[in-house]
Amino acid sequence: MEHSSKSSVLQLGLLVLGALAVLTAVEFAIALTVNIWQALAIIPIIKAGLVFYYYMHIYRLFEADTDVDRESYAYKLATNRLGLWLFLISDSFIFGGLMISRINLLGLTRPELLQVLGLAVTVVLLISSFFANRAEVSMAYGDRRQFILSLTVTLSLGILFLIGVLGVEWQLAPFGPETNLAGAVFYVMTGFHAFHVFTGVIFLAIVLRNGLRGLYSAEKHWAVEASVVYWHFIDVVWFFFYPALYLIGTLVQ
Amino acid sequence: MNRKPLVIAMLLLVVVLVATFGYTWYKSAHPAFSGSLISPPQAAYAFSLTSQTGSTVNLSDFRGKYVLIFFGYTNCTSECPLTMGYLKQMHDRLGLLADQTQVILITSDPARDTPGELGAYLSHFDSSFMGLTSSLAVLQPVWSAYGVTVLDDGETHTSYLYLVDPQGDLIATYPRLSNVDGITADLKNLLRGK
Repeated sequence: MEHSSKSSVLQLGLLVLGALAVLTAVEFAIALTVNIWQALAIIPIIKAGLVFYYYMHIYRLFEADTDVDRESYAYKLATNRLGLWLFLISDSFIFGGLMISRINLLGLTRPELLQVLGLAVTVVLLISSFFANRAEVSMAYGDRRQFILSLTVTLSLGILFLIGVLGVEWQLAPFGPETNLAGAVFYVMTGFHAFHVFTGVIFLAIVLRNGLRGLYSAEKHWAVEASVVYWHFIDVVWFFFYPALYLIGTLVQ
Repeated sequence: MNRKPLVIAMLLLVVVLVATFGYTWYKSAHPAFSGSLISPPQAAYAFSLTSQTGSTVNLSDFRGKYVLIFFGYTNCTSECPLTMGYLKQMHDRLGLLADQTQVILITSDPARDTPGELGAYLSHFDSSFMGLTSSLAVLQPVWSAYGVTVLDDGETHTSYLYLVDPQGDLIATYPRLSNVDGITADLKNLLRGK
């Protein structure tokens, strides 16, 4: 990153957002027309790959740990990153389990939901990921003002997502968690995901507060990176939950 | 930063799109058949029975139409009304094409299912549906020809639906209808010559 200019990195982030938007649009179009589940299963994997690489910088895990000084910041950073990813892997088992339940219980059927709202909250979360990346890049280049601004936007979009899912979708859904299997699956999946979004919002809010106090620098901002990587992880989970709940299959009778 | 993954992702998207539309095109050109095909088709057992209006009906009367034959009885509470209901839905979904099909219910309980009873029963479904009955002696060979087991009280444990083509050949069976999508699509494809 140090070899690229800040504007080119930000530009790349925008390009990735564009690619994710195209992928999401294609996913939505396929769902509305031919609804081939294989296509709807592959597209989230492509989206996840893009986010893993460009937004979550998974390759940083493989950067050689040349620092022999165990007390150095570089060494601790490498260890922290490993720890964060191990947590994300363990967390994904919960989401994976929920996904397996959904596949077993609902198969190629889906609950009756508001398509426009589903797409809207998905777009909100996608844009929030873009701003999260922008916040992290800005901090890495020492642009504190842009960092605060982008992080605030991320946080607001996260809250907007929660309002969309818990405040609108949950209230308008024509079924409850006890109505049928589809209802149970829908509420437990969106509920678990929304809880993670909620914790992400808290995490980002703490980072924002500390950022306003000037605790981070271009060289040392692990908490910023961690909160942003966690935020992207929540977005990646939604990449899979969104088609699983809204797009794949035919409506439950 | 490396732009290669972005290019790869976009290429993958193109592959997914091409595969999706290629698959869709292939499927529409070669529709799958949801019933169990009988290959090669066999001549359907020709019967001559009495309809709900009292007239004598032969299977050969329906040459030129796709005939769906179901065995059941009017006192049946589970499988028969369910299947007849599905067939009614199928009939409605076929729209104008339905004129080229004929649904026939052959009773497995001739003791109770008089032409009048069958007529009253079928009027709950569709006026074009035909209910056939006859004496036990005439019906028994029909049942056995289609592999239908009839118990003493007229109950049958077969819920097979038989599809006879316009030439009078038995071309497919549907073991037990659980929805109308498959059978409707099959008949549409057959009638449109796909």
